[in-house]
Amino acid sequence: MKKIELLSPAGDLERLKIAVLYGADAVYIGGKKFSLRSRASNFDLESIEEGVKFASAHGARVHVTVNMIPHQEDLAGLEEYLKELERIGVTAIIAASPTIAMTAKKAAPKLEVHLSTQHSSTNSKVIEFWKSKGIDRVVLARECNLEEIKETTKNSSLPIEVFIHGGMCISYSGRCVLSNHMTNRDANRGGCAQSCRWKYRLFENDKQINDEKELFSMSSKDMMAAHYIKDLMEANVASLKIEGRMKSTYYIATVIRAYRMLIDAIAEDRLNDEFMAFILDELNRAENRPTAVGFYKGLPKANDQLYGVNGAGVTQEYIATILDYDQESEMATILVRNHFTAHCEVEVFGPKYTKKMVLNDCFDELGELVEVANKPMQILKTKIPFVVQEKDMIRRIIDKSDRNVY
Amino acid sequence: MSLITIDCIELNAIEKLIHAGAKRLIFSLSFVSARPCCCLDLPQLREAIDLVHKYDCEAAINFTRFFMEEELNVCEKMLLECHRMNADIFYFTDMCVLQLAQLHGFADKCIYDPQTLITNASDAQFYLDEGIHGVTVSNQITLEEICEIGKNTKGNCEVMIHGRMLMMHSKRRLLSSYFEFVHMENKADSKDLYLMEENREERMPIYEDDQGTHVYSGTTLCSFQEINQMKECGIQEFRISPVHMSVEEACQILCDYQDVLAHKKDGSRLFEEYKEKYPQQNISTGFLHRATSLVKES
Repeated sequence: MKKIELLSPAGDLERLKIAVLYGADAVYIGGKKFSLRSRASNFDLESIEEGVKFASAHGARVHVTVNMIPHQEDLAGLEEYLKELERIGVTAIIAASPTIAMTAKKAAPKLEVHLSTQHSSTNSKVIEFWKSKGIDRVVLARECNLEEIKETTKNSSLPIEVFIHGGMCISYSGRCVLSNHMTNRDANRGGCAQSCRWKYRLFENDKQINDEKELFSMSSKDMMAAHYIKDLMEANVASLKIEGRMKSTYYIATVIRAYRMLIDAIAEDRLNDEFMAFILDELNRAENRPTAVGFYKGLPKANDQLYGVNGAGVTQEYIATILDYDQESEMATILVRNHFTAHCEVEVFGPKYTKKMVLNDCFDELGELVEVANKPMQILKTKIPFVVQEKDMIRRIIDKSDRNVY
Repeated sequence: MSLITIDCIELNAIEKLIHAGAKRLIFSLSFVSARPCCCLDLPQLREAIDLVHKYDCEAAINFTRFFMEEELNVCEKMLLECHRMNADIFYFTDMCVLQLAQLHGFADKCIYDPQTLITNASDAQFYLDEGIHGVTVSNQITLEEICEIGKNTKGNCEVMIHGRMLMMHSKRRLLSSYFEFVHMENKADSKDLYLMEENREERMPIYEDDQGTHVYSGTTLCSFQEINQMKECGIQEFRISPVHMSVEEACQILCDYQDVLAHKKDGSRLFEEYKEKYPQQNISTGFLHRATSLVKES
């Protein structure tokens, strides 16, 4: 089985580092220019350079999204920008505009060019076309099911990248302009307002036919394709992509770590039901919306849509990050991320381990005992009876077994 | 010479549309066509093409669906069938159609219509350089940007001038899923459904077919005031989208655009007349004078 790439999103340098440390082979990020997701805290060239250095030092690669559908005015400075990305050591750009792709090929030939999913590529003939233009990889449309992915990959003349996890555009990517019409924000230039997730009244001619309490929405559950990773690896897909440049460090750490463990277990032929259940449980702890399998098993059904809840399921499980650890005193310095009370049950985890414990007494910078940690970004000290590293995380254990709402 | 294209609304409307000023009619077939106005079978298509040619007009085929790997053979077969019938133009969205047309030597009959993706001159030129007949420019850009594309490209750039604008195409059965969720009678195949966002007033047509769910704008684009400026900048091909239009309405619109192009009617006056005459259509100039922003306005 060929080694498959685990491709993580990152909205800033901190998240890039987390993604790399928690097992990503490559990280895709957006620059300040030419990128979609304007609300993601996109990288300037200096941070891209730092990110590339960090990733390289850990054997990982950085891809930069240059994936806007540009109007003429947006193209100023493109060539210089691409040359800078090449100089910095970025591995690939992800592009949708042929002008951007071809400019990269000409001005910055060391950059690989990956064709964005904005093109909704669904077959090998399309890939043949883009290969003839020098494109190095194609990101398939999320509308392909598993069999279609397998068949297309088999016939493809280029490496294939597919989405395996995260939010899903309800429309064929790049073809949705709901946001343009409803908010004047250009979805294809980073301004998507996610109007598809809003609530709508439905009329037949002049008569409203839906109940005010159950308005229509186009919102989809997030994708979670853990069950299909083995098939995708066997199909020789080149890269498994996780969506979510705007997601938190906790999300990145949890999701990347879970897929890293899953991919490694499959590669080493040690995947079993029990381990899969553990992976699924881990993925459920990330701050996803409710999940489904997207198009992997065919056309999504009613229960793959979100009609009641639209927001990501923010759980507040993630309570702290480890900043430092003193082995002699076993005291850890932690950064508070979410409200918690002392002596709660927690899991401490890093890229390669998870350990349960009851949180010990926590002390603030003045040495005062803190019963309730309710100040995000406060620095506390607490005793952890095993060795932890900077960027390891602490999360609460919450029993959600009797919940039937998200 | 300017050319106005319109989808064939009904098989028996061909002559009416041609007499009203259409120089190219788009015909749809089941399976290969996205958002067909009416679907023909192959014998009907043959007759339609012959009839259109009798009037020295062009017959175009709507090949705008996305094709999956297993559908490539059908795509190729249908493409060749239509080519043998002397179809003049093939509108396509999936680049596989171009690959196949190139393979069989008729790329010059193809028009790339990716709906939203052509927003600048160099992207337009990239596709035109493939030797295709033309490209359809995005209707999400301003008049000024359209004119820049017209001035700075070699080849045919087609602009949509009138009709409801497609806002979203999902492969999912969004209406059927919703009706199932709320336990309502499934009315997904109705062409009389509209969405209204809970805080807004615009009524946006929505319907579902075998290719998924399609949502159109709550406004109707109208370019009577701008068409001549586009023409002066080198845009020669214009398109009317007759979604939610009767044959009579479409014919009137065609006649009026021809009159504006011939300077027989004043575009601004016609625009105001249409606003009054068709209040339910929410006549607007779309994005022609309204630039979209990249980020949320503060």
